[in-house]
Amino acid sequence: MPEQSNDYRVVVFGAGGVGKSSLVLRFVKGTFRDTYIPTVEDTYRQVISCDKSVCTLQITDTTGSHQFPAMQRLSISKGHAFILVYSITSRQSLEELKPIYQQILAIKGSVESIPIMLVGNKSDETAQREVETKVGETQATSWKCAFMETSAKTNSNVKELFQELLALEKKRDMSLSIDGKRSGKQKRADKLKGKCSVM
Amino acid sequence: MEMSVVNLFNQFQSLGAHLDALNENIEPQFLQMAVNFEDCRKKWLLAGEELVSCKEVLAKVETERGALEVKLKHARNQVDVEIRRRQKAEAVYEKLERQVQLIRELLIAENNGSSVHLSEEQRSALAFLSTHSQAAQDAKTNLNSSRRLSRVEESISLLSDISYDQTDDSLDWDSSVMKNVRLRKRPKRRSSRKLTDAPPQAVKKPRSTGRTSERNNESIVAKTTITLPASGGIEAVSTIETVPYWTRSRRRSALADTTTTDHYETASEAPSKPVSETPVQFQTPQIKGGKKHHFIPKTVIKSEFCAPCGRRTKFGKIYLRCQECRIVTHPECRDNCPLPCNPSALETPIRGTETTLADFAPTSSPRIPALVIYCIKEIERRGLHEVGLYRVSGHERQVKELKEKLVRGKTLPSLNKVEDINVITGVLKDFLRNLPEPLLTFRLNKVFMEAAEIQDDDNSLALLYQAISELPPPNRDTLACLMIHLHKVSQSMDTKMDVSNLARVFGPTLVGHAVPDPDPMTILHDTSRQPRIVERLLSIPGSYWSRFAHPDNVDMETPRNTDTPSHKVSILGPVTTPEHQMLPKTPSSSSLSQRVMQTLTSTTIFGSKSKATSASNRQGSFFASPQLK
Repeated sequence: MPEQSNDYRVVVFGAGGVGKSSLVLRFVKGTFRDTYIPTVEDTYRQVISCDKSVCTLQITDTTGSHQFPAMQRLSISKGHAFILVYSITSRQSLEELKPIYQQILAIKGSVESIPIMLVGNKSDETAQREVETKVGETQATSWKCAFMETSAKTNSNVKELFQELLALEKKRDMSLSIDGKRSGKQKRADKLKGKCSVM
Repeated sequence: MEMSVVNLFNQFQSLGAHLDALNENIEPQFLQMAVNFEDCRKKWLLAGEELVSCKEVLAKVETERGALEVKLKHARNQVDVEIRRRQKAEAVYEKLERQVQLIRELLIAENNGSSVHLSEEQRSALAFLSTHSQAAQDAKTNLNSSRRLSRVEESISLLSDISYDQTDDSLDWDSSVMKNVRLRKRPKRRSSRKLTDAPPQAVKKPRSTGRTSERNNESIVAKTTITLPASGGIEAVSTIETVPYWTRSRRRSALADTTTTDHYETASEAPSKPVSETPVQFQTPQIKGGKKHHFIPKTVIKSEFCAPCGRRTKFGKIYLRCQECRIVTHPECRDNCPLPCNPSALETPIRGTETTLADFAPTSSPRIPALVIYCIKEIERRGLHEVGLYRVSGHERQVKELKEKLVRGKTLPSLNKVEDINVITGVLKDFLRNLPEPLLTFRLNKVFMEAAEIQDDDNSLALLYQAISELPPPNRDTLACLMIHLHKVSQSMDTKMDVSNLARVFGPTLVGHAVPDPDPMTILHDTSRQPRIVERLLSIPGSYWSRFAHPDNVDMETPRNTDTPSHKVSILGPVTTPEHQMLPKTPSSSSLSQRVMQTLTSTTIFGSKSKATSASNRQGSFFASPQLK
């Protein structure tokens, strides 16, 4: 594939209704919609910095009501990094990830060099929590992947999630902020300056 | 100097010679070229002329088409108007019918109560009633039943080669066919067993006694079997059995049958009609849902779960098992058994990979696999308030296990034991998804895809109707059943699964791909289009689907009473069937969608439908009926 050099594909997996789309949308668009619409398959693109130049981060939002294994296999074989999302309010949704993980393992051979994030979404809904943070952590350790609890609704840990995922990629040096780290630095600098002037 | 002159001259001469040599051939070539050019020009001219003429023809055709389209539109409007009028008339008819029926009921009850042994009086009274009811039908409803009937008959005989069993369809003119069926079905089965004792009984029984005893027996637990050897070769075998279990409905049916008797003997003006009085059937209070179970009592040896209540059957006690679908129940739970009884091919699926939907489906209509029906029943019972119904998936292993039980098990596992409703939805989805061929079939996949792509709603629906009609009956019935169910789900706000959400979830499940092993590109391409199809299918009104899913309305198995006076629902059967047949021939199918739909909603015979279809003899008969009012 010619695009390979330039595209970094992240695939989001998880059971139906755990908030995959919400996470992706929160990250890509910064919005949260309270509607309830299942995804068939959506792909979002974002430009990020990679190895001191830019590349496209392609986020594939898959369907949760997992339909055909063929689709899943396709996404896995195309993906570079994976986000496995479950809902902390549903034990079942964590269970659901197991076959997906096995699938990734089977297709990719080994998960050593593949960035995978296990994500417990809906961390704001503490009242309905069914999956303790510990359980998620244990699962992540056994899968040798990183773990995080997020909430797309309250925008907690969403950006961090993607940052961490990119940091896991050892083959390339990637970061979310476009134009290298410059813009981030500049912002910080601006802030500092602002503070300075006030002082 | 001289030398140079000579030299120059020589050179000049040689040049001249060269020039001559060059000039020699040029003229004919030029000429040839000129000729060629001329040829070319002529051809161009010709082509130009042709183009002009073609354009003219095109324009002409275009205007013609426009005119035809306008005509079509007019025709459609007219049809609409007619249908609406027909519906109105039908409604009035129904209302009056009900009134008459009420009066009849009252009168019959009175008769029986007051004059127990006055058979003559009673008979005459009832004769009056039945004639009256017929007269009322004719007069009050503006629907000349006999005329219309004959018309319908015509059309039926014309179309009798169609796969549907027209004669059966035509039986059940009234909307309460399900009840009708029940009244008949059971006797049918039973008659085989009781054939020996039934006829003598029937002969022995004087008409009135038969009736009165029936009335008297109402409160007592008795077993009365009456067979009516009908005149005119119609085996109106109405066996009545008042068994403790069939309490109300049984009694009612008994009543129904008695009236039939009366009609037979007194109103002899219609000897060839096995008139099972329709108004009577209106009142039969039976749960909608179609075919009844055929229970036989057994003694419990190996404890099993009762399907309705979920408790075990206890050792040594009596339990009931339906002979057809093998459902197990306590005697006291029998009324709660899920209907319709699905003569299940539960155990039929042969071990092996190639099991099609047809292998799961029963052989009698509606050909819906028992698994589908049971899952849907259960989901509708307790799943309609579940957020993300069908979206949220159940535990994979549980899904697999339950599916295995449902598909291979000898008895039906009781689904209310399954805690997580998502497991049941999972089973249903898994079952449909893993059929060797998707529900909408490989063959028709493209047709459905194309139909859903069309922007124009009418055209799209018309194509869909056509495609649906081409589905194999098990697929079609199952699809219909599912669609009705999904309608219900989408209407339940609590699930948050509206039509488009359901369509997304069910797109890949129902539609699938055109080939067994699609390549990734096809998958990607199809995935976006699948939900559209389901959405379209869901936009088809339930009345259309229920004809397939609950064909008891249009029962196909009782080839008796070929013309019941009242004609309501099942008229559809014969009429729409030709429709399907004609569909492919029609030039513009756009109007068909409306037509098909309206037929089904209006539940009347649908005259004008064939208007746009190719000319045929049927048209006459179809046409005339709307004007009958």
